Parts: sequence; C-alpha cells; structure tokens
Amino acid sequence: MISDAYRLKYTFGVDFGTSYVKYGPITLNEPRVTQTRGLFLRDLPESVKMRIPPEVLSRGLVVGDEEVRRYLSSVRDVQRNLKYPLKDGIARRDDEDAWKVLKELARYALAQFPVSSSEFMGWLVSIALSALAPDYMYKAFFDIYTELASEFKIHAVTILPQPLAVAIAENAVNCIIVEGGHGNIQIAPISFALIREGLVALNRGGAEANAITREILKDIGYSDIAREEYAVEMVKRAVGLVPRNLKEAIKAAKANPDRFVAKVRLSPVVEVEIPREYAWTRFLIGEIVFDPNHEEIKSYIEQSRLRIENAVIGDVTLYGEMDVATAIITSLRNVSVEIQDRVASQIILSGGAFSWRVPPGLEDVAVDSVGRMKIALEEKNPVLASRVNVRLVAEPQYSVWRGAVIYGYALPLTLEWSDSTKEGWYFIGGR
Amino acid sequence: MDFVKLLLVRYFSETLGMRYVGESGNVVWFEEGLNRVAVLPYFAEVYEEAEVYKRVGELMGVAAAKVYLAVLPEAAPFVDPRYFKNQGVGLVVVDPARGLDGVEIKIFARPRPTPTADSGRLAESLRASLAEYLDAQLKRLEASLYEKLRRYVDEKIEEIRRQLPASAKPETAPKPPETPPPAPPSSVADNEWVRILRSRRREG
Repeated sequence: MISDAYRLKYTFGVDFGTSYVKYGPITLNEPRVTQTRGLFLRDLPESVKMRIPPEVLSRGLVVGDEEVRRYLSSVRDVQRNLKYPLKDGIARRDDEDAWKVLKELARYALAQFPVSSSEFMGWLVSIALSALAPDYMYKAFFDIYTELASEFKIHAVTILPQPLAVAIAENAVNCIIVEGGHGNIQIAPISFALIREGLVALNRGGAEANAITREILKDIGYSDIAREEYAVEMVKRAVGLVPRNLKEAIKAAKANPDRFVAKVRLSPVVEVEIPREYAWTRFLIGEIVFDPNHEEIKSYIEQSRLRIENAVIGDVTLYGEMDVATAIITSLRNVSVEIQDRVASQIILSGGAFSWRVPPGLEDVAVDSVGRMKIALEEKNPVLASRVNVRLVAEPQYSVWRGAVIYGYALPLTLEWSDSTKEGWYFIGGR
Repeated sequence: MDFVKLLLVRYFSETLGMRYVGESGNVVWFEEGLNRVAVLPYFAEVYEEAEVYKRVGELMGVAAAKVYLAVLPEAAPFVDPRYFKNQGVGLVVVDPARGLDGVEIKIFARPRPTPTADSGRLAESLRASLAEYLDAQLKRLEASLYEKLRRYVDEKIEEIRRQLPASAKPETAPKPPETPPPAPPSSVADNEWVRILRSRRREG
C-alpha cells in the first residue's frame, strides 16, 4: 500500500520542454535542468573510441550538458549528430533518433537519484508534455518508462499537459494559461481540468522576436553578429521593447530618437549600438509576439526570409498571424457559456516569450507583458478586459515541473490510465 | 595525390579508422583489422553508365573483404542502388566542394569471403590484436569498477543526506517513540488541486 508519506518522497516530475528538461523528485526545492538534446557518438576515430566508457559507447549517444560538451569535439559531423528531439514540444513519430534521445534523457534523469531505502517500491513518475502532443507521444513515453523499469524501479507513470501543470503550480482552478514558448504560444482554458476543445495555438513565439531582431541587426550593419543565435538572443533581451501602442511608440521614437538609442555589450570586444535612425525598431521586437498585423512589421517580414504562416500539428492548427488577444477570445468561445465567466476570471502568462522589461524612463510608451495583454484585451473586448485579472507566473522556469510533482502526489492511484480522458496512472508491468 | 582522392583517403583512415596501405593500379587499399578493403575511385567530368558498371565488375574481381566504388555526386543518376546492394558493393560519394564533410558512404559494402593471409603476417596481427583486446578488456574492467564504486558512494551519500535532518535534531530532546509521517509542504497542502484530484478517486 502506497501512503501519502511515500508519495511525498518518491514522486518524480519530468518536464520535457523544447529547450530544457526539468526533472527531479518532489523532495527538491528546485528541479535539476539539462538541455533537451543528445549527441550521437557516430563516425568516431578508433583513438577516441578507446577513451569512452564501454557502457556509453554501447548506447551510442550521450545526454546532459557536461557529457555532451565532453564529447562534442570528438564527433566529426556535429550538425548531423547533435540532435534536438523536440520541435515546438513535439517529437515526430518516425524520428528514431529523437526518441532515442528522449529515452536517454529519461534514463539520465532517473539515474541521478539512486534510492537504496528498503521501503522504496518504485518511482511514481509524472511527466509534463506540450498540450499539442499527439496520442502517439503518450504511448511512446509509456513504452520508454516500461523499458527503463528494468534498470530503475518504477511503479507507475502519468502524463499531464504543460498548461495544466502551470495552473496546478499557480493554484488556479479556473483560468486561461497562455504559455509563450520559443516556437509557439498555447492558449489553454482550464476549469478543474484542461478544456481541450478550447486549446488555441499560435505559430509564433520568442523565435519570431529573434528573427526580427536579426533583420534589424543586418539593416544596421551587424550582419556578422546576426548569424549567431546566441548574440541575437542577447540583443533581443537587452533592447526589445513591448509598446503600449505601436504607432504612438514609433512616433515618439522618431520624434525624439535620443531617448531610445541603446548599446549592448556582447563580449569584451563586441558592442552593438542601435543608432538614432533605427531606435524605433526596438518596438517591433516585442510587438511581433503579441500582434504581427502592423504595416511596419509586415514590411520587415516582406524584405526578410522570416515567414509567419499557419502550421498544423496533428489535428491542431497553429495560427501564424492571429494576435494574442483574439486567440484568447477564440479559446474562450470554445468553452461552455456557463463557465466562460469563471474561466476568464484570470489569465496567467508563462514562458520565456512573455519575459519583457520596461527600462526606467520609458514607462509612457513601453509596457511589460501583463500590461500589453490588458491593453490588447481592452481594444478587442472591453467587457472581458474589465473582468479579467492578468498576471505572470511566479517561477516561469520551474512552474511546470512543480505542477507535475503536485499532480503526481495527488492523483489517486486507483485511477488507471485512460486513453480517452488522458488521465490516470499507467502501471508498469500491470497492477 | 589529387584533392578528391586525398579526401577519400582521409575519410577512410580517420573517420572509419582504417589503415591506408597504398595504391595498386586504380585501386586504393586499406586494412580494417585483418581485412583488406579496396576502393576504386572513379572521378570524371562526364559520367557514362556503362563505365560505372564496368568498374563495379573490375572491383568484384579484386581480392578484398569489402569493395567500394567512389564517385562524384554527378554519377548519382547512373547508380542503381539495388544492383550495388545485391552485389555487396559499397558506394562512396565525394563532394569536393564540401571538403571533409563532403565524403559520405551511400551504400555500405557487404563483407565477402576473405582471401587467405600469409601465416607470418597473420601471427603478427594476432599478437597485436590480442594485446589490443587485453588492453581494452582491462580498460573496460577498470571503467566498470569505477562506475560501481561511484554508484555505491552516490547511494551512501544519498542515504546519509536523507538521514541528516533526523540526526541533526538536538540530542537532548527525547526521541518520539514513532516518527510521524512527514507533513506535506505548504505549497502542496494548501493547493486546491490536491483536493480536486483526490476527489477523482470516486469518479474513477
């Protein structure tokens, strides 16, 4: 019989994010984090093979930040052999390499927490996946943990969608979770559970803000820096601004450009300066996440290789150009009218795409994500805007993991996994 | 040696770990352990289908454990992969424009019956490979011992860490007869979701 005390020790949460995996038992204050990638040890010279431990060599790949770095220089074709298994949180069904990396990450996570206690009957593993994850991903993860059960004791596994985990971590029972990732934005209404019919996804996120930053850098004359994703990300974080109103912000920046010029030091020898004549473009970087339907943004899109278009994952369409406020209203319309009011009572923003700050002195034209969302809702639907409370999650990086372990602790073990409700425990080796 | 052939030799020796032996006639020879591998480069500006298969025929006649035909990407339209696979002949495509990354094995050669080696060379190779094997086994043993030791130490540390909060209590305080089960942290206990999820027991 598994008691609550047992579950408070041996519930293990894993959040499979597109860029990072966050994992660890419920007893941790913060999860451990590693990049969601793996390095295949192929095409190695014999001399290098001799230096690799046999059990690593036999598995053929390594995961974990340190481990990947250790072997990176030995592998010839890094582009082919360094694998990022998730794109927008999804692994393709037929992408065998991706599934090998995910299995290795699952093993890596469990291996870091060996348990020798006699009371230990196996982990209760709670996995958080993208809300867009198709059914085959659920099955594939159950298979992975079933195979790993020969190495580690695993009692049962459950899977929950990431927005639900955020809602749990935030202790919000009725809400709309707006998760802004690198590749997409998911809008998920929640009322005691995820309302799948109301799921709306946008094919935009931090990546588009990076893309427009790259184009701006090229225009200013920093084409060499624009090639490096790391540098582009740094510039975006440092100079990107979210406008209260794009047209007015651009007008203000063109009238008094000295207020908006910015310098970013990327390294001791590289400094990027946004000059007076381009100072207004800083507002495009933040705005593209919230609403790309502006002439100024469109002209940038037309002259670049950046494309903002619809995409389809499984049976979900990811809208390219829909603004975030319209997406929230669309999502809400798919929720039963009776509970719409309750669900719309709070909107919770999470994820890196909503992490924007307002530099001191620019408060009249720039806002943070919460402010921008309130303004956008006010423009689209003043009645809704007057009732809703918008806020940002307390711990953007860890909230999904925290929600996953609480879910794993609370979900009754009498509830067996159901493919239709996507809820319950999948018992390893049957009950 | 021309650049394209140099790329080929570097790929076979450094990437695949074979030993470059030399050239005889049109064929470049390598050794993979005891096995001899023959690679026939066919680099031309204009390719002819008949010429491709003539060279495959030539390769099938050489005494090697594995045979490869090396061509430029322009030859690809003339290659019938099924034929190559059926005959066990490997295909290497060299794209000199991409430098070292431009060499790629498109079809792997199937091992063929090995021609007999002379006994002196065989004895020498045997000695060398036995020494290599023993060395590898020793390294493997060392690595597995290290790994077991590391796991043991990790487990013990984890155990001590778990016991620490209990033993860290002041010794003067009387020990309770039975340790009460740990109370959930406030973030869990106060969470509305815990109550909601627990109530699913009845529905399920």
